[in-house]
Amino acid sequence: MSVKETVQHRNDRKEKVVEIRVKRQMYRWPALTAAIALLSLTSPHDALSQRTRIDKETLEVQELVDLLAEFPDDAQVHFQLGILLAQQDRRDEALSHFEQAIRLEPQSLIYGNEYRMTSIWFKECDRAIEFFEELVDRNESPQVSRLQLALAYVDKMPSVMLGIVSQGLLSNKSINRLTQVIEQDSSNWAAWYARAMNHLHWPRAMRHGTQSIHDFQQALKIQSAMNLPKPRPYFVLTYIGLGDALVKEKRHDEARDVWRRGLELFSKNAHLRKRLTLADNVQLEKFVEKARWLEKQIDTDLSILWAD
Amino acid sequence: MMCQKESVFSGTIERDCAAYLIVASMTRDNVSTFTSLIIMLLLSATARSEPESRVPPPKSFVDITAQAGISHIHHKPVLDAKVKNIMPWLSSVGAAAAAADYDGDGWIDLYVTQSDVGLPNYLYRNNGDFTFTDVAEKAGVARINEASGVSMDAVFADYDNDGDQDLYVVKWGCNRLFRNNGDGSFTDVTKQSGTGDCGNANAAIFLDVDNDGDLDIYVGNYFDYVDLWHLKSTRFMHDSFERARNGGRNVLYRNNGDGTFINVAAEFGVDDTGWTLDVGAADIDNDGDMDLLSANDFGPDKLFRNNGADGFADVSENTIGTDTRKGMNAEFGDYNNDGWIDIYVTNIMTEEYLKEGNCLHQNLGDGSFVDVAVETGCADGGWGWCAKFFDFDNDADLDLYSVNGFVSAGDETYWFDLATWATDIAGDPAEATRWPEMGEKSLSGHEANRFFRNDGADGFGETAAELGVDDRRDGRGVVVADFDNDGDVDLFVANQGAAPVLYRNDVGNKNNWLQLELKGRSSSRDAIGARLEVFTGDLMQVREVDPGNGFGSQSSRRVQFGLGKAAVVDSVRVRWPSGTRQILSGISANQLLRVEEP
Repeated sequence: MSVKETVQHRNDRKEKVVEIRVKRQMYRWPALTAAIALLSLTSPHDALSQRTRIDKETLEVQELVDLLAEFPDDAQVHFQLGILLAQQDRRDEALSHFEQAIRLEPQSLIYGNEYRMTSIWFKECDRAIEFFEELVDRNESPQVSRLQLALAYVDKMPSVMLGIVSQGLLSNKSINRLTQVIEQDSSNWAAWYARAMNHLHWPRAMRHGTQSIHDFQQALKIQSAMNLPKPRPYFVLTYIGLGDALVKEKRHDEARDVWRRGLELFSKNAHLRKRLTLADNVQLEKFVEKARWLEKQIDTDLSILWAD
Repeated sequence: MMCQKESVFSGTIERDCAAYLIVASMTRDNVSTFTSLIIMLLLSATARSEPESRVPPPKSFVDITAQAGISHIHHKPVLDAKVKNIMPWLSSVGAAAAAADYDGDGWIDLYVTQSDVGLPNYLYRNNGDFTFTDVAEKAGVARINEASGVSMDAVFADYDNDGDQDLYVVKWGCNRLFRNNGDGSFTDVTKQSGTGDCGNANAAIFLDVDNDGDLDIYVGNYFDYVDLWHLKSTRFMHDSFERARNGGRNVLYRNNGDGTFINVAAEFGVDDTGWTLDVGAADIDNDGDMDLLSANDFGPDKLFRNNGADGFADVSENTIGTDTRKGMNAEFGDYNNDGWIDIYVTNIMTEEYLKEGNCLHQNLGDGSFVDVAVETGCADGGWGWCAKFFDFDNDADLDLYSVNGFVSAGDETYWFDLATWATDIAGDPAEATRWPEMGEKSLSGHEANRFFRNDGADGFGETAAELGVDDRRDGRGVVVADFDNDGDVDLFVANQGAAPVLYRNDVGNKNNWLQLELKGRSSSRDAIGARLEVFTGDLMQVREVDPGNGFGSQSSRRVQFGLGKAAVVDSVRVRWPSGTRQILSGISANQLLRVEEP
């Protein structure tokens, strides 16, 4: 595949990811979505429902703008408007409304997460970093803001305009912020997991392997201590990541044990199954090396935390 | 009869023209050879290329350095002790070499640099039997490594169009220009010529940027203007590992035609301030003038399109793109025989921790390029330095030899120290004294050089070990030249802090070949930048007369074409830098053809 094709493929993939995400987001707020739909149907523009999707979206945007005129400090309306504007590629307006939603409710993981995901799509990672740095400086909901800032640093790493030094600098900034979060709250699964992932993506020669293993093990302890009747979907990530970290340290058998334990809980997980099919250690190392590298986009989408 | 510009297309006239040119070039060739050439020329006009074996014999190259009488060891520069913490890093360049027939005896000679103060450079005169004699002292080009600077690169060219090869040596310190006196000696004309830029240069090429018939000089500077032996400040390193623009400003000396030069780099838009390790030139858009490439360490390479009277335009972003890599080498060649000159830039790659890789920018012919290094199998060159295109087995496509290795010292690696420090939030690369101590540690050292054999549609295959050129010394410059005039090209590798290697090509003449040596009249005497198109059957091969491309080295300017099984070249089309076009037809294989501009 040529470079041009690779870039195109990457963009297409991102597009699909965003589409899926936006649909999921709409599902997450059924009440608001229904209200918007109701407004549309009962408005003087009822007939417009037969129009194109864009026209309908425009109408919805207008309705939300009207709502904002009445309730300017309603974070949820800002947020929903951000989503719709993003769908229409109205980048600056969308991001501004996301930012306003976060300012109004800085403790919301959901708002911050969607803002970062949209920033990635619009290649505005620097803007997201600047925004969260400002929130952290202002000490607004510092734990959540630090976590989002740490993830925003990671979001920027795969940029084609960054080399390994810049990527390493961003990763170190992320690690530092996550360490602050963990120091304040050692039961924060997301922080342990994110820090483990940071360490995991460094080249082996940079000797981050043991730190990655340690952090994944902490995340595993936290999720095990929850004693839930049914494991949450995101629990599987820890098993996958811990195994990969062990492979990078050439602890292949331990890695396979971890993946098998994961498979006991998530018997259909394709990532675990794939890894366990690789019987040859060299092949396994190559697989992990390819998957875990600073230039690889690390999935920082926290929505899996509240997914069913 | 005389050949006419743009006027010889019929078979008969073409044959006459070719015959004339051969006669014109026969001053040193004997009559029987000439007669056989004419007979072959008349009999074989319809010969076509045939598929040839792509499996060369093992160990095609033989190390004959010692037998050839080349026994020196390169010594690294020793700079101001204030930066001893990274002395191995700073002193990692300077082993360079240039090839030309400086004494006009028909054999290619070699000029080789030393890089420590007080040590002489070498002018190895080719004795004609694959042995060499150092005549640098007698020739007056030995003693130029002095307290104010040492040699980094050298390039021959006939800047005054008087028929002999002059020599330009670039230095960390002030550069030097030597005029060839035509009697085996040189005169230092730096001062009167105005070419003694005191930057810290790592590269220079001769080219005729304005096609006015005399050769200009483009110089690539690395550090900014600091005296590396007497540092007033230790804050002189690159300010970024990926986007540094605080390097030395490149210089373009325009030849005034009277033995003097003037720096017009700013006026022409090529005063690049990247950390230039190598400069190269070729006609990438096939418009008759040479475009420039500046291969920059710690940041984006720059490609400048020659717009004639309007100077150069930086077209990097829309051609080769903006990269964050460590450009080390600027080499050009039409690797896929599509008629468009491609670009090969070496970068640095170490599988375990540094996945940048070399770039093969394939010219799509519409002004755009696409990097196909990974797809074609020539991305992993290690910590790359010079890489040269040439057809080692005369099978009618360009192979690549790429040397590598940064600092080969002890078993411990400096990478962990460096990368930990460089990715620290408080890192400040510009301040040299803050860098971690390098000591006796290696950094991407002891690497095996790579030979990427062109396998046509299958891309390149790495065959260095098979061919006997997988040397593990820290390679820098590579000279490609037919030192024994046997029709295949040999190699000379200048190694940093180590002995050089001279490889004789023993692949054997299983394939046919043609060498051309051009002599300009309206164009510069060396005809640098002339485009040659060689047609055999359905195949067209393109080469240009080389300005001195490739890190730390200049190859022979004789243009080599492998012909495979074709015994006769259907036609050779020459586009001279002056714009004159010339067509030669029915040229017999296996000869050195000297062609004079009509």
